[in-house]
Amino acid sequence: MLEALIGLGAFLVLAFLRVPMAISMGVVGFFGVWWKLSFNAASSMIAQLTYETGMSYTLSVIPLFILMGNLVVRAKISDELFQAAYCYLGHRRGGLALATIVSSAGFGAICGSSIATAATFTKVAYPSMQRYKYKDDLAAGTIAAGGTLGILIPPSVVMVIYGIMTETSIGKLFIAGIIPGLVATVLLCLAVKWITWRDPLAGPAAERHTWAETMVATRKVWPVVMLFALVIGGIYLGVFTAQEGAGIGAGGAFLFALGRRALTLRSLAEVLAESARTTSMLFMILIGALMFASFVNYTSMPSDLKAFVLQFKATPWVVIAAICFIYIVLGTAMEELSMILLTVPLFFPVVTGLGYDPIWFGILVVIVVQIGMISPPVGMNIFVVKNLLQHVSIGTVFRGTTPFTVALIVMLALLIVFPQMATWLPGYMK
Amino acid sequence: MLANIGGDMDQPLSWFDRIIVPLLGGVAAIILFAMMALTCADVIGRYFLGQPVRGAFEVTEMLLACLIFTGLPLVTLKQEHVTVDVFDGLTPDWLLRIQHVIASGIACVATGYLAWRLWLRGDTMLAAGETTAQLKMTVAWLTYGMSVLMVLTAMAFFILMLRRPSRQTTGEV
Repeated sequence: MLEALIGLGAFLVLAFLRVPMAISMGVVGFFGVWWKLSFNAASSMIAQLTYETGMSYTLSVIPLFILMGNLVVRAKISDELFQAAYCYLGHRRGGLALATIVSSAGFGAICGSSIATAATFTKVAYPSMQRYKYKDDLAAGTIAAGGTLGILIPPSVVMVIYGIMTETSIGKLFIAGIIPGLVATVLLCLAVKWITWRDPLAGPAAERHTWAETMVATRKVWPVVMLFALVIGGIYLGVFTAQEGAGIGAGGAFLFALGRRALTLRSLAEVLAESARTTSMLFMILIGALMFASFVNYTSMPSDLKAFVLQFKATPWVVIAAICFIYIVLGTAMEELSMILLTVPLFFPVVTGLGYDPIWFGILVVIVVQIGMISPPVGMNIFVVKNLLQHVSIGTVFRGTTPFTVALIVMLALLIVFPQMATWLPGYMK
Repeated sequence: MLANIGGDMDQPLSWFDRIIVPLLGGVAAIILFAMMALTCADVIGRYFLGQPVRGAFEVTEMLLACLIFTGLPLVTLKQEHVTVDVFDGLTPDWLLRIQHVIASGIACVATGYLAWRLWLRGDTMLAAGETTAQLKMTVAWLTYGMSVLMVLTAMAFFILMLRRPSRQTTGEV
């Protein structure tokens, strides 16, 4: 136990020195294995891990889904999505905020990144909300919170990473995300309703659209529906694997962007290079985390933790509640990706040991990541929105996201009480 | 994400930005496009032409390895690695610079050492004559390639060490 804690301390020291997370985890893992085994073992282990992670077919899903998301962003389909949702919801009080949440959810169905979704809708939805004199905290909070739907509604980069680390089926995780994604969308909308009920001036109603306009706007959303049905439907029906689905999705998004004349050779090269860099960055962290996890596995921490948790065999929900609490606290201060990479290897055996479904736990992890991304002081989505809206203060964005954080905590509680939300649909998969 | 150091000519060792970065960026773009095209061709071939692409699985694996390691020097130089920067706002400039030099130094040594170990692994693989199962390609060359790109990553960290730190936020999910 002590060795693992020293390792964790060393990691924190390095991380706060601003050593990249990946390197911090890798270096500590290396010295840890050296300490527990030998220098030679640590050396060959790090080379082995690096080589095997780089050469893993399963992981090809990561660059391809990232590429799909980036192509979809470039194709600017988000405008149509927002316009359609605007037609249906805009004339209500807080309607533009509702439209932002709903269209973010739609965008999340073809993009697996929370940050990309938030960044996209800052550009798409904020100008409309500003025109109708929405308060900045509601506008910015809505966009930051809506963006997190990008990782709950499949496809999802976070689910892919969780699936890889725990050897859980990525396809099943995706399907499991559908119902919670819809419920979370409703909860975020309720949060908007609550905000505008308390302060009607925060989100005034915008103009009403005619039925004809609404129909035209709705019809323009078909590519999103097609792409989602193709990729997620294909995975659900077992037509192709998640890896192939990612490739097909990227290919579909490519043709779609091409068809809309949204791509030049130059911008295509940019999208590809950007996706490649994101991939490299993620893999570096993954390799570092795997090295750290191998060290932790040589310590007594996993068995100590398991033994400790077994005391709660009769009331396993206490353990789940404790884990959620730890995650919410960690999520406020830590970058979310590193948080799950560090903690999932520890928590996963404990949770499955208590008899919980690995897929359900995956969805739970995604929701705590969502919460972390919009909670101060370190919330990635908040930074993204803030960076794009220079005149809005960070405090305003934090104030804006608070009601949505509460909504997502309610979502977390619902998922714990009704695990069927996540386990029902994947149960029908082959 | 908000990299602003692209190709500043007044930076130390700016030839790296001018020559290596665009070169690797182009190569990475081609690799990723090839991965996408290959997966699509494989699936379409399997369902509509009754014939999947031979060795698609192995080639995808190798393309992935190439993609990751080609991207690493770029990520490094653009300072896109996930880093704890919560306290950047509170850190005075002189402290940030010291942190930056130590952190880049550690990262440079770590990636440099990894490059060397990968090279040794390549030697072992070459001696053992390891090949892929289906297409019988010698994997040692790929490992040497990984090692070379890792050296470039270490160099990128070294170059960063000589430059001013930038205050920015990163994160990718």
